[in-house]
Amino acid sequence: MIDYSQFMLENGLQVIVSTDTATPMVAFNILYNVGAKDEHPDKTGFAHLFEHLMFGGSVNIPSYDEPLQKAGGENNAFTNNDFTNYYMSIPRQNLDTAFWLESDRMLDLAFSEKSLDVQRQVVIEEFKQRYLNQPYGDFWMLMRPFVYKAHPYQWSTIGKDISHIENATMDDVRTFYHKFYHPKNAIVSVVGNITEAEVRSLCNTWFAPIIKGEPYMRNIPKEPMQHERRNLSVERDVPFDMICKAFHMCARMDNDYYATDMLSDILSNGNSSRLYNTLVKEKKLFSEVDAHISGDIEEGLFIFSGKLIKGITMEQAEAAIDEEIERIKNIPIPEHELNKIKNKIESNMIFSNESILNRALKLAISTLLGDTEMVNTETEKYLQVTAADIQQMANNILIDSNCSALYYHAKK
Amino acid sequence: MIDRTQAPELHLIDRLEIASPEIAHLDNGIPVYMFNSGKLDIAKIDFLFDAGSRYQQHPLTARFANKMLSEGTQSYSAFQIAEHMDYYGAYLGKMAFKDTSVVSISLLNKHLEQVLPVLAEIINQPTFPEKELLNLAKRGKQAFIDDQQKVSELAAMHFNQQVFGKNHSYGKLIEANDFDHLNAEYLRDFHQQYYLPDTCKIVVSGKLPETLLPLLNQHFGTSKSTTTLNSSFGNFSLDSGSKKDFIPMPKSVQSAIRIGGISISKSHADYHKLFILNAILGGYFGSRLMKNIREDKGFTYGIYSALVSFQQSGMFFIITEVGSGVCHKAIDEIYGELKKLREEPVSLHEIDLVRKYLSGGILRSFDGPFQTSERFKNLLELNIDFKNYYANLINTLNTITPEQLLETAQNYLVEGTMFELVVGKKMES
Repeated sequence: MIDYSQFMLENGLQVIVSTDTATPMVAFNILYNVGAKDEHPDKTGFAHLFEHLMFGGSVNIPSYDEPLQKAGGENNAFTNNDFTNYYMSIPRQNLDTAFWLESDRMLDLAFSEKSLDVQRQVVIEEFKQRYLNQPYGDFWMLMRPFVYKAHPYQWSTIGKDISHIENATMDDVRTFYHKFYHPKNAIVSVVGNITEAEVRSLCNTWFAPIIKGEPYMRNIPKEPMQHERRNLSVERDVPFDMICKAFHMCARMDNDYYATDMLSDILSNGNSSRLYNTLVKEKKLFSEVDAHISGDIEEGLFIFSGKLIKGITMEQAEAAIDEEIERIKNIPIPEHELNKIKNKIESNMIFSNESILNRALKLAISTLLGDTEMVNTETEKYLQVTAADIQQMANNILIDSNCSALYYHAKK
Repeated sequence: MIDRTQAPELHLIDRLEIASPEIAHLDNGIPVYMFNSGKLDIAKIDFLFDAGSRYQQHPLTARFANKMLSEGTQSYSAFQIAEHMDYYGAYLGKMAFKDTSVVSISLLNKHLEQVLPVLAEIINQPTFPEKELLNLAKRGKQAFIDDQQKVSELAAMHFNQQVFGKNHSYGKLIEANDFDHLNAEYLRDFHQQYYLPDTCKIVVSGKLPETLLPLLNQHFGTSKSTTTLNSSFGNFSLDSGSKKDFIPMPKSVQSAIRIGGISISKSHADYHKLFILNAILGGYFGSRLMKNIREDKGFTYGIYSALVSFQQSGMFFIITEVGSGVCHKAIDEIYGELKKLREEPVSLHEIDLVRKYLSGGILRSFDGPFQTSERFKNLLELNIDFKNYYANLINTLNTITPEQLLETAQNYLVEGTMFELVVGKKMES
């Protein structure tokens, strides 16, 4: 159970506060409602590049990191397809430094050419390190445009192509900033040794004077229903074959989300899960195998992926995955197995509330989703799911016409 | 109107109260260190054994003895164990390091009674079934071969051998065919010799119920050691490789760089000074290496320096992956930063910055029972007194001078003692 209170400033900034006096620290989280899905198809990778530029100095403060380090704080950020999130933990006595820094970079940026030049390079090196210089590193670069034909989930946060980052101009940066980085498009959550009154007062000082921006109206194409199975084969310089089957599934706030998530748990959460025991241990077809959901806010993916044991063919591997799919579609899930998954979910929820940073992130995301109280009600939603609900999801989603299969062959 | 150009005044942060663990002993003498705090009804229990890779006679024995603990016991199959842990939402962790091996469990307190008996079997009565070993070994080999494609993994694996030597207990390299020669008998012997109650230490943290200690005693307090440990076991004679080494990965678009060598460990009197110096060099986002090589030149996504302590030695190294074309330049810059620390005193401004940053970091790293027990465990593995260590660190942090840092750099960051390894495309030179 997370106790919290929330309020909104006149400029539209949403704020959530949760007090925890057991810690000497405060977690400060600020989420901007802009992700890779909001990018122009010819300027992809921008939300993420921009996240880097947010550390290049703001209008009144030349360096973001140094004052925070002086205050004993630590920070980082990440970008995904749905949003961009900045977070820090700071000793409670210096929380005003966090408000000073974060409000100034919401007010206006420094827009330094040097910062843009360097961060372009840094992001290009990140692109190489994570996507090009790793075996199977291009997996998502292949999968996304294969699975999504209209929706902007078809590109990764790093971007479609390095050239998009190379060609980013200062004008692009400014336009992007003014469109997305303003109070109405942000959510602040503060968790730790601090009261609501203190946070209110800090918000009034630092964030309230920032002018309300133009509300961003998200208008992105919906992914059309897939009617036919798709296959894609590639050959790469990797040691072992890999197979992936992706299926379209519901959005994060859809009521079916919970049963779908549990379907992936039954198949592949933990060493007693079905795929691990049948495909890895008994049949010895895979060195590793996994089923998981992408967890995206809009309609996402249910993904099977596995690396084949040397000597096993793609046909054998796929047939074994399909057999597990048929099993869960046709044979009712035993009660013991369902309870096991529910216990695991309960445990996982409790452990995930241990860190103040995690609590702050959960509060921000649930607010973005439009239901802050989700942080406390989600466990119950999972517990209400029945075996029949999960089986129904398998029958709805895991069908051939909804499948996109990627065969990732090792070069002979 | 507020003046946004003025930073808010900085305040004194909380003094770190280093919580000493409560200590108890099980009937067979196993010490139990308890950090009892937190609001959530959860606990973490760590079992530490002097059963790291330095004690093994054959490659991979320590790692697979540890991995295989939960693959079958006197009364339970691998599946039954996994099923039991999953059913009670318990997270079983197993890790083998160079000196020690660890088994951990994180769980809701209400399931302690169901989980501990099975955990006791895992630790005390594993059977190491051949069938499970074959499966794990085959998969381990594939993962190893995958890793050989990554410049950073290759660099990490080979650097220790380069520094310590191929027969040294901290330097020995794993090869793909080592996975083919794994033998259940070796694992059984290793378990019997090294998973000893005599060398076992238990660290528990969380909101600990009264029933915990009696339960631990019931399940772990009766076994007795059958042999005694030879704690000096291992080969620690140095047989270092060449100072500069290169592993070609012709298709690579980035090169992994490691530069460093043997260094002092946490038990050395100068360690805290070197710890602060390391932070300045490459220990945080605002470090000199990060500022120069990432934030000024854009050569890399990240560059760090680190100190690692073993029971019998220590290491210092710098690690990064840079664009293939700028590898030479990056290496020159790295040596330049080391030289600067040896020749120019660090400014008081920079010392003040790193002091405040590290003070916040220390406070953060003790936030909650799990964090605290993690810090404690790291020192326990090295047999270093917890309270003293942190009292000294905080004291050194508050009093360190530019002169001391200069001297520390001159003693411990000597270019002539450094090893250099590059994995990637052949450099133009």
